[in-house]
Amino acid sequence: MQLFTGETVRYIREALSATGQPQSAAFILRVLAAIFGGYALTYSALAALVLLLPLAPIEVVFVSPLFPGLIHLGALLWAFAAPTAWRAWQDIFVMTAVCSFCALAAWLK
Amino acid sequence: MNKPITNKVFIRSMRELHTWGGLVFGWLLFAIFLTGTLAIFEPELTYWMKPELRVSETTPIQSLTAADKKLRLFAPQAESWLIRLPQDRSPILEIVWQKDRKSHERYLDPQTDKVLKARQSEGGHFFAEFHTDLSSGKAGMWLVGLSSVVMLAAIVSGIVIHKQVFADFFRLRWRRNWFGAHTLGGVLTLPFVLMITYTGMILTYYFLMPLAPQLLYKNPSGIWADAFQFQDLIRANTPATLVPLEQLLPLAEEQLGKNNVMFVQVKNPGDRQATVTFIRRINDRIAAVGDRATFDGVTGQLLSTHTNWNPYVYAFRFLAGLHVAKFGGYTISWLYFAAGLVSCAMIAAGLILFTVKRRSRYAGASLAAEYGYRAIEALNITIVTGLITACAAYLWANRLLPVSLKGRAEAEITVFFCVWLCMLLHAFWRPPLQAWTEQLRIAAVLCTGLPFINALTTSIGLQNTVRSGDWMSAGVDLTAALLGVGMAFATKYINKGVNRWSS
Repeated sequence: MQLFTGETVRYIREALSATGQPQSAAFILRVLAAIFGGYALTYSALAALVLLLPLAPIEVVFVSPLFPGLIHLGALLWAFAAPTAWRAWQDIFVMTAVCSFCALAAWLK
Repeated sequence: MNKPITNKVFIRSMRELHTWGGLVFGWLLFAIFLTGTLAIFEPELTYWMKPELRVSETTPIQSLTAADKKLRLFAPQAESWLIRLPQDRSPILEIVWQKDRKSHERYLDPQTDKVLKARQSEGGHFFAEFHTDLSSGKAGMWLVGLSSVVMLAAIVSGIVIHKQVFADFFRLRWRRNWFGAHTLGGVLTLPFVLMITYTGMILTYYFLMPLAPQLLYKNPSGIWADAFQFQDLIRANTPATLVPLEQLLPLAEEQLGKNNVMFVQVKNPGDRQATVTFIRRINDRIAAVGDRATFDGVTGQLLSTHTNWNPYVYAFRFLAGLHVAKFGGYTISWLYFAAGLVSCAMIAAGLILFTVKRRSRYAGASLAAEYGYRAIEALNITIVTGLITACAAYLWANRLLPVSLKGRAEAEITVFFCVWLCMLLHAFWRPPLQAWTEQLRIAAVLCTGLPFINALTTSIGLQNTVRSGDWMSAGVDLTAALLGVGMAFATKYINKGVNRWSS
């Protein structure tokens, strides 16, 4: 069984590496930061935006959709542009925490 | 860490993002762009796919009278009615009513007051739906939303790693290989792709992350009450006679302009609290906002007119209007269609470039590596030529399936997905080059054959439509044939130029 698993992992790794680029753990960490970190950041930033924009509710409903995609884009680009994968995770986490704090503060006010 | 090294790492990770993000999401993006391009002509495709619906022109008042009569007969107790008056690009009178949370719809001929029997079909709407959520609900919509983000990221990273292509483009230094096709198409369509991706992205995120409605409104109907500045009336459950709708039309046209009414919506018909709302057409300005006038359904009194939109709401609907392209008539539609096709070609060239670049590298590698590469190539083929074939097969299914088949609309869609699946198997079975040319040839045959199968199975063949000036139907035939001929030439070109282009 162990042999089989080992063989499968080796097979997949080779299949992936065949196409050229280095499939390092760092690259996968960046991908995860881009998708899940990006989602968390987008969600919390949008919540903060919705609660803090000084506009009438109906205006917020139609203005707020202009931003989440761009926030997600920013997170995704930073996930790949950051010097290291660790740094990408760290920055996205800090930003998410700040946005969640703002959103919570506005919500509980 | 000094500067040059940081820069090098940055460029390398941008290249990885462009290569891998471009490959995986390129598959989704090609499908989204192609179906979106077809959805530009959604009204024409639907009209073509329901050949039984051909009636002579009528006045709005005649249509409304006929619809009113039929709705009183069919659905006196319905929760709501919707009447779609004939317009330039959707010339058929349609009535829809909601009863017990179920929607029923019929097409009418206002001249004879008869219900028109049309074959069941999703028509062009299927392409629009696949374009928004890959026909798979919320999960599909998330994939589409992510694709739009990755598309913008691919543009940014593409510019970072190939800055020189802009200079090359304007110096007319156009390379005749896949790299050239990809970058040339990219530079050419950059403004269009930026606009269409961003506007699509905001529409998708509006549905995906409805945080503002959830946090600021207790129930969703409040949003529309705010947006239209009119609160819907609640059913009183006391019967009352609905005022004849054709009497209200002149009053509504005073508010919205002559011949401008597109929809008539009746809430609580036959109740004391009935309301009749006239909604203006949206195709004469960029912003997709329907001005409206609401009347009391019993007394016929004007309750509210909404023509001045909140600037923020208007701005959002302006961007939405840029995406759905209902404005500007056929000029804008064709421009969007052409730009969409070039964008598809750009994405396809990028996908092909991925495999072309690595073709020499895998040749000596292990068996597993070869399989991985092979799978990517097969998926490329399935996504590009396979999807084109499936779209053409969808139109063929509309003509070939028995007209009175039960669940016909679903059957057409099943044909679409089955043909796509066959193309996947075919792409894995045949050597890549043969798979490319063979699938392209099948697609070419299906597209060029469309006018013939149409002429054989219906009465709206080219010989009739051209003579009677029905260019909406003839346009579908002619465009399909033209695209088919284009693909036939592409097949030849691939066969001849395969060695020259494999750089």
